[in-house]
Amino acid sequence: MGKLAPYFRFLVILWVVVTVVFVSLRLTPGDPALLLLGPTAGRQDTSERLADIRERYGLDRPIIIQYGIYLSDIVTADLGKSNRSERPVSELVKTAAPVTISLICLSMLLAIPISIYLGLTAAQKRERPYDRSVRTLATLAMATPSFWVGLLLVNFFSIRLGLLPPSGYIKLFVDPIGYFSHMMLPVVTLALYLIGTLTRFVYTETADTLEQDYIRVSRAMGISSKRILFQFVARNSLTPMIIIVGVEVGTLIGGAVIVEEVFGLPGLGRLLLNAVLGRDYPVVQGTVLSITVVVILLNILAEFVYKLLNPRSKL
Amino acid sequence: MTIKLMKLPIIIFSTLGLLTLISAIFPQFLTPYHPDEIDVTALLQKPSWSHPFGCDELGTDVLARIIYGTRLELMVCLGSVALASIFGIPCGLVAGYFGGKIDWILTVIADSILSFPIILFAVLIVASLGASVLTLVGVLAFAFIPRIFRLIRGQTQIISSLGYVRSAEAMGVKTVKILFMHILPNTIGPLMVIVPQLMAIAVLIEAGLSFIGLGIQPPQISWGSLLLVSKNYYVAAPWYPLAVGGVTTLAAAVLVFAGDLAGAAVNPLRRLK
Amino acid sequence: MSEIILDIKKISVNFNKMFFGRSQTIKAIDNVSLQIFNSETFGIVGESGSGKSTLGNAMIGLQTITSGEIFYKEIALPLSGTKDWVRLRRQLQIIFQDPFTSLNPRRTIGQSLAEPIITHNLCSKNDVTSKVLSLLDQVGLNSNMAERYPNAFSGGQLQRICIARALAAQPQLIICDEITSALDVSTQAQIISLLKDLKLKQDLSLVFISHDLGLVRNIADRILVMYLGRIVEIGSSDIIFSNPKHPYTQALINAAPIPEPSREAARIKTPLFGEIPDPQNPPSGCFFRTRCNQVHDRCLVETPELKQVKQGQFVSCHNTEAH
Repeated sequence: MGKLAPYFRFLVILWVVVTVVFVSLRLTPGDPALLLLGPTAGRQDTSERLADIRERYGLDRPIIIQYGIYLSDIVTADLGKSNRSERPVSELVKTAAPVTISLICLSMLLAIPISIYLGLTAAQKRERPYDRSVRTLATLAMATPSFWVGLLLVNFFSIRLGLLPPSGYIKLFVDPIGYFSHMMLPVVTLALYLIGTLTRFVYTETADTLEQDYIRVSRAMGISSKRILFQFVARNSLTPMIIIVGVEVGTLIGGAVIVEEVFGLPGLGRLLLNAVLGRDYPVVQGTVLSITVVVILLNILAEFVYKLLNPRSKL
Repeated sequence: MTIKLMKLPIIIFSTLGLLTLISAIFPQFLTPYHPDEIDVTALLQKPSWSHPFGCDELGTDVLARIIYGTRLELMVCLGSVALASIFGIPCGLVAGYFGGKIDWILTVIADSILSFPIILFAVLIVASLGASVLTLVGVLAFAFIPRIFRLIRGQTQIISSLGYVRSAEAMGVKTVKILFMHILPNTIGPLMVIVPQLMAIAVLIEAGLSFIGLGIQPPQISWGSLLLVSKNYYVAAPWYPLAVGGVTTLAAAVLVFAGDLAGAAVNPLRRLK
Repeated sequence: MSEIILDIKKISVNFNKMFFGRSQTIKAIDNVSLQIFNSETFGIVGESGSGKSTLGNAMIGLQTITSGEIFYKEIALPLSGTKDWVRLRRQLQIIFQDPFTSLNPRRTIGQSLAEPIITHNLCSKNDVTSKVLSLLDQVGLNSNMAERYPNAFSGGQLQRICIARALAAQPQLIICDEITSALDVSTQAQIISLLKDLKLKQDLSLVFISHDLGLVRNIADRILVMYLGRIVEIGSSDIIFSNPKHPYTQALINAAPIPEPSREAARIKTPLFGEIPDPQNPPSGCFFRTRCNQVHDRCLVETPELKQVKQGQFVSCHNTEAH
């Protein structure tokens, strides 16, 4: 299999994930057709719609066939139609995706530089008050429920100070200022956990690297501390960060679900939540699938980039 | 182990641990109030000596609700980690020791589960099975299994190449015995690092899920459900959500810190060799 | 005549390395045959990478062989996992190089020593403790050490404990795989003399693997010299040291210092030149030809066979004529 072998693994993972989604939505006892119909099950045309659903998803046929239909649907990117609005799920996903993507990207843009700076400088000034406070704050940032902080921020900035809007979303190209003022609090909220985690990570990696012998030798040779830090240390400590970020994207998406709910952002998270609460299964299934597939693809990318920068690693 | 260096943290953690246990098992010893007690005269009262965290919208003492909520928190934390260990540890041992096909299969399954953001997975399961403590524990356990699996597997691989395992093999000791009496006890160190970390994640995810209505539902009390209920009172009675969120943060932070200490305890030992 | 305990016939051990799709075969042991006798100490010497550790493990069945046969007391080695296999594990023991990782850090010395006894049901539960104490005594250690953990001991003490553990099963043969290489010189001497003592008292065969010629000379009755997985020379200890026939053996002995400064200074040294070749790509014909000072054309093409030169001495070199 050669060089492609590690990527085959990802195919299997994708397949397992897709199957898990299939299985979990059929865990509910009862008639799946009724479930797929959702709460609109009382209407006049119910029996026709039930029949439609049964045919569409093959619910009368053996589970293997259902699975086959499911897989072929996915491959053709047909995610079905929403129960409530009759709009195709893929359309809903496409509309909501940019919001979530921009939320996550902005959060990463905010969190990564801050974490790198804090982590590196704290490791440099080991055991001094600066270091301890950075580490404590990072741990707290990681430990705090982000939505709680978010609400506190809303409370403070929006309601008390009236500086920023408490919720809602404006498209970037419609009104850039409005866009940023609406995104600011959500982005900070989401970034908080990431800042905490990444700062701790950069700190430990850098502290470890700084203790290595080759650094001591460099110092002895007279190379300035700053140069050591940025040339040798940063490179070594930050490359693994790519992997961590890849992993944390998943966590971020989870956080995004909550943040979107709190701040009323019409992203994938909100779409998903409303679908769950409204028992709109096709949307739930479609959204979860889309998100997970993207996360996996991002992880593949992260691993690829990491291997590029560090060809000798045994990933 | 360098026990001397760790005396102070041990005292702190033991105290906190004890407090948590008492809150969970005998909450009545810590507070005179009942969490369902309605006191119309004390609606949204500010913090005072008799009510350190004030009162909520029904006049119930907030601190009492938090204390009583510890039980479900503990159940979720411990239950999920324990359940995950029961499955994760044996799989990790087997995959790490035997390698080959079974290792590949198990690792792929673990990686698949890991690529699912936990909250998404929770949403999926709750959509099918409904929100309850059991679902929550189940989802968390399911999400934790691969993390424990990975850790144990990595450790097992390292330990398997060490002299004492090879000696046991050469001596004819049965494989099951080798796995559980030689390898497993030596993985306790890193396990002690990951367990508090996972518990912290459990606390935070419970908080998040309950907050959006997919976790523990009111009237059951957990810190997450309290956060949900207090959502409306950030302006009128900020002490209410502040107290709950503060306690949650503190708990998660303490757990993370415990994991850090465990990590520090494990590491210097290795460096010595 | 002593009986043959281990009869090793033409074994080879190949390792396949997966190298980004291409698999490469390394012949760790190539067509090796030898016999171990009852109550003898058999030394195996060679450089790192000569395959001596692999041979030690393969001899007692811990390393799967790619071809060839091994017989223990005239019976072929059983397959792993069977009852015969477990019984065999009692008879054949091995001690490893690193004393610090050879004992479970979470078990007391007593527990580690008891393990072979319990595994093979060698005595009743009540007698285990006394057996453990007697084992400690045999290797010259204090009985109060049984309650302590490995981190309390020095390398030399740990190695003694490992020897005691190997003895616990009352084996027929013990492989000592570079057991002194991690110890300092004075401790090495202690271990060697302990082994010699133990051998006198018990009916035991030892296979002593080392890269240190001096030590091997001290303890071994017969010696096997290996190079890149092949036998280069084999014979009794005295003959090998007094009259080595293979150029490699000659170079090794020449390189090892003699503890008499005047004689040492007077010796003419002919150091081995070159480096050990890549095991994945060994030279054609005789492996040693790239470093040999007696090489000629035939060595390039033809692999020399192991031929008897004198009574009990075998050499594989084109320069020696068989008797």
